[in-house]
Amino acid sequence: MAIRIEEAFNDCFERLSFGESLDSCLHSYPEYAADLNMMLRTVYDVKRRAYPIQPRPEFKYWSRVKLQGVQDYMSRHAVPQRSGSFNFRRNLAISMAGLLVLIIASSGTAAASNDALPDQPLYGVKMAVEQAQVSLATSDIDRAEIYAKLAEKRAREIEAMARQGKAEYLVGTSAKMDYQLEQAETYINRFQVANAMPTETTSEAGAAATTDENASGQPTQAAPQPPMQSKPYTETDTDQPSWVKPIPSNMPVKPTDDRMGDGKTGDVRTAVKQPAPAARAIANMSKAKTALNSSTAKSLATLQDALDKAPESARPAIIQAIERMKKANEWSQKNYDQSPGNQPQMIQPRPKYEPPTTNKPANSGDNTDKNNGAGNPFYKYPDPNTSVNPFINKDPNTNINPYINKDPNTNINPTIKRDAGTTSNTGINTGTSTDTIKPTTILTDTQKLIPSTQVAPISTDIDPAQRTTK
Amino acid sequence: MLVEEQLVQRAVNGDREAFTQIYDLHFDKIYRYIYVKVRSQAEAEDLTQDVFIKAYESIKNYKWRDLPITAWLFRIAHNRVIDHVRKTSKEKKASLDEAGAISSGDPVHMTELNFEIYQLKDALLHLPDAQREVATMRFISELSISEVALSLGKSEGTVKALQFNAIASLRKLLYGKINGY
Repeated sequence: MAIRIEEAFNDCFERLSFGESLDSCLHSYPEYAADLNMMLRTVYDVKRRAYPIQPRPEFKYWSRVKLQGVQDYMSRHAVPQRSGSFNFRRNLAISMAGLLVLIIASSGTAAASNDALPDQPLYGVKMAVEQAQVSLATSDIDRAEIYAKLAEKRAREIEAMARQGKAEYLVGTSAKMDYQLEQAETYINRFQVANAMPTETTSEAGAAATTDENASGQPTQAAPQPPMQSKPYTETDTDQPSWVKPIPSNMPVKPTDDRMGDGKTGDVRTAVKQPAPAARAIANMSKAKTALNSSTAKSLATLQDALDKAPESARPAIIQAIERMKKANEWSQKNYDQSPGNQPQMIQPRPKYEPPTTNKPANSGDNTDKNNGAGNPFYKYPDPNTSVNPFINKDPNTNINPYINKDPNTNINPTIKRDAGTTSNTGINTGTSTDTIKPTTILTDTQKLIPSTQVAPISTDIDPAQRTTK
Repeated sequence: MLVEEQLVQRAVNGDREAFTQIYDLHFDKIYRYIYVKVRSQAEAEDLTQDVFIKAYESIKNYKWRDLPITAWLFRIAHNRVIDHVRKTSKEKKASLDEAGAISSGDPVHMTELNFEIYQLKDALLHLPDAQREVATMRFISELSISEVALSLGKSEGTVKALQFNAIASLRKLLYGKINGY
C-alpha cells in the first residue's frame, strides 16, 4: 500500500531537520516529488520567517530573576500541604451523596419507593436510597445499624412476596438479606477490634502479684494500655453495660509501669477513671448489637409468619431463608449475648450459609462452592425446586450446561464451534479442522507444541509443563 | 528513566535548580508559541513569564505519566493565551510596528524582518484553529509530532494530516494559489 502524502511530507520534513538534502528526500517519494518540493519549500520559508522571533536577552534575564524571586517568596511563605485533601474529597462526596439523598427523599418518588417490592419498577429507587443511606453513615456502628434495619426490610419483602405467590423473587431477596446481616456483623466486629473492647479487669490477686514482682527487683515493662482499658471495671459502675462481666479474681494481670515515679508499680486501671469516649463507644456498640439481635429476631418472626401464609411454590425459598436467618440468629446470640454472665470476646466470623446439597448433581459447577460469591447480593442461589442455577448449572433434562459443559455424547460444547472429529476447538485450529480459518494465522505457541491429533480444549487439557516450554 | 524525566522529578520534589533548567530548556519555545498568537512583544513577554510562574506553582502536582513536561507547559501556555485573547479581543489589532524581532541594528533589515513576521502572523491567523495550533507548535516552536499530539490530545496521524493541510493553506495565503496547493 502506498504511503500517504502526509506521511511522506512528515518524513521528509524530519529528514531535512537532521541535515539531509531536499533532493535526497524527494528521490524517496518520486510519486509525490513535485508536491513535496513545493510544500517543503513553504516550510523552509515559514521557518525562515519565524527564526528571528526570539525573546530579548534582557527580558530573558529579568524574567529568570523574577522567577527566582517568586521561588524565594514561595519558599518563605510555604503553604502547608493539605494532608486532608483525600478527606476533603471524601467529605465532599459524602456531602453530595447527602444532598442527593435529601433531594430524592424529598420527592414523592422516594416516598413511594419505600414500599416497593422487588417486582415493581420503583424497587431500584428504593435500593439506591438505601445504598445512599449506607454511604452517608459516618461510623461503623451506624452502618451496622442501617444494615440490620435493611435486613429486616428484606424479611418483610420476602413475607409480602410470599403472600402474593411470587416465588421467583424470594431467592434474590433472601440472598440480599443474608448479605446485609453479614455486613452488620462485620461492621460491629470491626468497631470492636478498632476500639479494643475490654477483656480483662483488675483483681486484688493480680495487683498483689504485680507488686510482688516489682518488689523482687524484676524490671517492669510498660504494658501498652488500650484506650478502652484505662477505666477500672466495677460491678456497680453505671457506665458499663450490664452484659460486661468481671473477670474472675484469679486471672493474672499484666505488670504496669511506674507512672508515679516512686518505684512502685500497679495497675493504672485502678487509678485512672475511664474517659467518657470509651464509655460512649461501649454504649454505641451495645446499641448496635441490640439492633442486630432485634432485627434478626423480628426477621425470623416475619419469615415464620410468611411461611404460614405462603403458597406451596414459595415455601422452599422461605424455608431456606428461615434456615439462613436461624443460623445468623444463633451466631448472633452466641457472640452478642448481653446476659450478665457472658464475657465480651472477639467475634468470630459467622460460617457462610450453604444451601442444602441433597439434590445437587455431582460436578455440576453450581454456586454452592465456598469460594463462589457468598455474601454477594447478586449471587444466584440454585432454584430450591430444581437445585439448578439457570445461569451456571446444567440443564436438568439433558445434564448439559449450555455455557460451559460439553455434550456427553459428542464431548463438544455446543456454544463453541468445534471439529467433532478431533474434539478440538476450531477457534484454535489444529490443522485437521474443517474450519475456514487458516491454521497458520491463529495457531498459538502452545498449540504448535502439541501434535494436531492430540490437541484438546485449551482451557483444560493442556499440560502446564508444555505451556511454559518454548 | 530519561534525563529530562529525572530533571522533572527533581523539580517536582522541590529542587529549584532543576526547575530553572526546565525553564531554560523551554523558555524560547514557549515565547515563540505565544508571540505568534498575541499582538505585541510586550504581551508575549508578560504571558511567557506568567506561564512559568504558573508552572512553578503547579509543579508539585505534576505527574510525568499523565503528560510529558513539554506538553504540560504548552497546555498552560495555550490556556493562558486563550484567557488573554478573550480579555483583549475587543481592543485594536496589532500594528506592523509591534511585530518585533531581534534588533539587528539595521533599520531597513529590521523593517523587512518585521514585515515578514507580520505576514506570517497574519497568515496563521487565517488558518482554522486546529491547523494554526499544529503549525505553530511544529514549525515555530519546533516540537516533535508526539509532543504536539500529546499537547493537543490528538493522535499522531491527525497531527500529520493537520500539519500538511496547514502548510498547504499557508502556501496559498503567503504566495497565492499555486498548482492546487
